Amino acid sequence: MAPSTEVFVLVIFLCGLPFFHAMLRDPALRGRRLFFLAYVLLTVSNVATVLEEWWAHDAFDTCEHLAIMLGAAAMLGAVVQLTAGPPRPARARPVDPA
Amino acid sequence: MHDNLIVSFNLVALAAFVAAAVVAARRRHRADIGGSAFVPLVGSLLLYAFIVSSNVLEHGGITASFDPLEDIAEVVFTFMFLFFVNNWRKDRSEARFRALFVSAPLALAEVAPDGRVLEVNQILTEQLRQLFGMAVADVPTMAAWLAVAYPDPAYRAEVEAAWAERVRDAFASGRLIAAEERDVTCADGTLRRFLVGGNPIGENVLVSFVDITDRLRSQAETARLQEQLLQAQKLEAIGVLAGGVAHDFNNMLGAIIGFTELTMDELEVSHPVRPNLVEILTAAQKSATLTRQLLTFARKQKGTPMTVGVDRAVGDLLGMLRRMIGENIELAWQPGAEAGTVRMDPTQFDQIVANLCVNARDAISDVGRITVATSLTSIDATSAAVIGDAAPGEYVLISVTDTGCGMDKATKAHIFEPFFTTKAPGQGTGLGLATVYGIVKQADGRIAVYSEPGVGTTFNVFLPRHLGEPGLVADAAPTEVPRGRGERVLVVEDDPLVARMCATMLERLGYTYVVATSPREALRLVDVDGAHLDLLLTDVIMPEMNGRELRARIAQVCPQIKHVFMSGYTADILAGDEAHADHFLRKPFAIRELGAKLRQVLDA
Repeated sequence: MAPSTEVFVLVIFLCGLPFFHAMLRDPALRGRRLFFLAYVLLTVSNVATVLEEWWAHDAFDTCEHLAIMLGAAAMLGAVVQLTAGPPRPARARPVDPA
Repeated sequence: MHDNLIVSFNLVALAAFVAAAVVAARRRHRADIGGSAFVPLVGSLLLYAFIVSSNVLEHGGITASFDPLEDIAEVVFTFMFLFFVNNWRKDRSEARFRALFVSAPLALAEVAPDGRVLEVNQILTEQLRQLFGMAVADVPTMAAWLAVAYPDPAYRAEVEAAWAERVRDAFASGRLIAAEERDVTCADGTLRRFLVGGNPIGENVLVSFVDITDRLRSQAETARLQEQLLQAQKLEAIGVLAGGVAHDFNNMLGAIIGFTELTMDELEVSHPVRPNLVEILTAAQKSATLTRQLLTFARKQKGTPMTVGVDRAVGDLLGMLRRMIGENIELAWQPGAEAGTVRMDPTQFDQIVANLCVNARDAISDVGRITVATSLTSIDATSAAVIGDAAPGEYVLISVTDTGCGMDKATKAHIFEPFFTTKAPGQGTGLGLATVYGIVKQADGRIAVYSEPGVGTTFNVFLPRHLGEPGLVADAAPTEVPRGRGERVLVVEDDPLVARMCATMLERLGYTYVVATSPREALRLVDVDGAHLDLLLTDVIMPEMNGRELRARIAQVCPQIKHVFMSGYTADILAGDEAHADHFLRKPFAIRELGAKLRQVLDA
């Protein structure tokens, strides 16, 4: 794979980082820390993908896939937390005359 | 070896991503994730599942690399994941504001430009059901709502036009739709006052309905009570002033009447000065009546409370009332308080009925009708507040209704004030209704007035019902002046003029006397000459001590001494003590009354 494409993907991930950080501050979103951790780990995997092209290919490759695996685990944990607990109380439903 | 490790990592990651997607799909209701957040969440998880699957294939040597697709998938993942978080926040924010709309403590409806009602909230739904007996579906448009709320076509057209104009103005100016008060007709035909306003929301209008009926009612009630309180305070203040003046004036009148009578007794019947003295006496007696009315208004004229049968008392008065009101006015008598009795001075009761009838007569310019009605009524806590904060309980109601000219609100506000009159100068004292007010208040009763200009007036007098046998009215005054038999009387009076008059009268009646102008002087005289005293004739209100206290002190020294209290009013000193009623002489008094009272007490 061309390194430039991997750098481009990395830039996209890095650009998304502050947005996620800002949006995930809402404490009402359960599992928000794990969601952010998962995103950071996937970004780390992309950093390793770029680096493995120049130095210590095997080590960074291992690091890349290890980060993906940990990111997946964090994602699973975040989704479990998001959907954990009893169902939320039903929202007041407006009456629709139609 | 390296590839095996990578494959293992990716297999674990694949399992985790797929598991996360499955968990999200199965438990979405718990997270309350709407479609706009759910799709990007599961989509991003599956995308990464695809990426790690590709890694497994690549490092497992099964197939060629999907590198370009992986990179695209990773970029798409980033955006999709961003969408998930962003949409989740938007959904939540919208749900929060929707909940605010739905559960707002204010009746709200969102209306489209073509008049369709898009949404209504819970309060409005409830109000529609409770007040109009309708479901939301029954009013799909504003036109349908207007037809229900404003059944009068002319009024509806006015409301519709005014609303359309206000909405236009609001859209043009970008401001709120000015709220307007409107009377809305409910299902049971009653009118309720609503404040209808709104706010342009995009191209739609958010309409608010506030039911202010209860608030207006409560404000009106508060204003009425405040007015009532002010009126009561004003009358109380006037009463204190009038009572004070009348007391002193009464003493002077006592001296005028007394000395005039004494002078007349010394003159022959044919004496040329005698007619002048008769005029003086008549004027003084009229003045005494006025001061008595003032004292009654000031509630310092307690009278002699007795059990009065209301129907019988009014029935006995009818003859006199008919003569009083004249032939061109019909007097209707509607007794309805059978066995209804009140406890008060019978003379004062007669005064209430007579004064109200005179007032009714004067309100009728030509021919008309006066209706006197009685009934038994009970006042509960709710109605008590309406009838001038009366205590809840059983009452006897005496109504006097006339078909006269009625009164406007301004006149009504002053009718109980002393000397307020609408009659021409010289035709009325302005004390009639003030006296009625004083008597009624003194009897713990209440009086309510209903009047319409040009229609008539009704005075409702509520007197507390008393359970007891009607008593007998005191005997009329004797025709001959009972005389003394030389008994010795101690006169205690702080007003020297009245004291001198009493002394002269006593001498004329055949009594001997000693005069003290203060209670202290009286006690000194009793110490010296107590054994020879037969009767104590004392004023009630005096400096140092009151008459009742003085009598008690003297009784310790001379237990045999009898007593008579004299006063312009009894105030509270003798109030409610009937033992003293037989020993009471109201000032101003004539020589005949003094003689009768002294004889009655001495012979008892």
